[in-house]
Amino acid sequence: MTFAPTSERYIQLVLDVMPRSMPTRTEIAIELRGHIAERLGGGQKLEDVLRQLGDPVALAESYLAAVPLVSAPFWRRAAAKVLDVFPVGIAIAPPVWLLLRSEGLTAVVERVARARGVQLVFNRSESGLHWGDPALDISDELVTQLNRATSAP
Amino acid sequence: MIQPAAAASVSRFQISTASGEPERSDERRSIERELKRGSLELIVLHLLEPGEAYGYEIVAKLTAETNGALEVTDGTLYPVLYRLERSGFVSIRWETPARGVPRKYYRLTDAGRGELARLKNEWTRFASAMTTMLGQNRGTR
Repeated sequence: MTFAPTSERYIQLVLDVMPRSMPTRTEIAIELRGHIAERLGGGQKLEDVLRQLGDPVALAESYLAAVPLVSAPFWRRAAAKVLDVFPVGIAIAPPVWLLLRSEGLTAVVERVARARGVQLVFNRSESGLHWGDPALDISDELVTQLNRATSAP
Repeated sequence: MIQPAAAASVSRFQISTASGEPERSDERRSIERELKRGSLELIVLHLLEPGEAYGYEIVAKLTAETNGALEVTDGTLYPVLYRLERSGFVSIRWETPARGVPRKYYRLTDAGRGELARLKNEWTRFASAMTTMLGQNRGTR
């Protein structure tokens, strides 16, 4: 143990191991503080009192291990799932919303193809095409149109 | 509430490891530790049976009732209380004396009484089975 022998330092070492989210953290600190005070009041030396409590890390770990692993009731788990998904929903909502209210890819391809009098449009990389006249490539135009369709309201 | 004699006898606890004792004693100590760990909840529930008590009171009571023979340290006892609370076997109440630090009082719940009865029964069965077995062995040796 490498702590200066003060009760507050000891309690702090115990708390350091416990996650801040642990709701009972403060209660545990108050109880330990009370225990140390009682023992000191009984005339014991601080060093002995702390030795009785043992290694602060070990003490914190046995507190942590004491949490029973009982699964929560169904509705609480369901609520937790919804909460888990909530931030993801917030993050993907704007792009999805934009996409939904704008023209999709197929619609843009169709519009550009009709405008140019083209009857078939291939995806060059997926069609098995070995060579084609670069003049037939309408990728740039499609990208421009698609960008316009998805960004403009 | 707190017997001074009890408080004095508690301080004889020691963390002794490097005393040059043979390994056998370590082994024996670890069996003792396993037994103790299994029975800690029973001990605490039993100590709470007469009525509510706060942490330090329970520690002092344990030392007084067993004459310190069980050597349960403060550091092992508090997490047990915490576990019992989380499992719903004890309910708690905070009280701050006029002069002094807040005390956390523990009291058995109905579930706690049920658990105490169950553990007591289990312990008695285990102990009598062990006694019977060890007694038989003595005859055949």
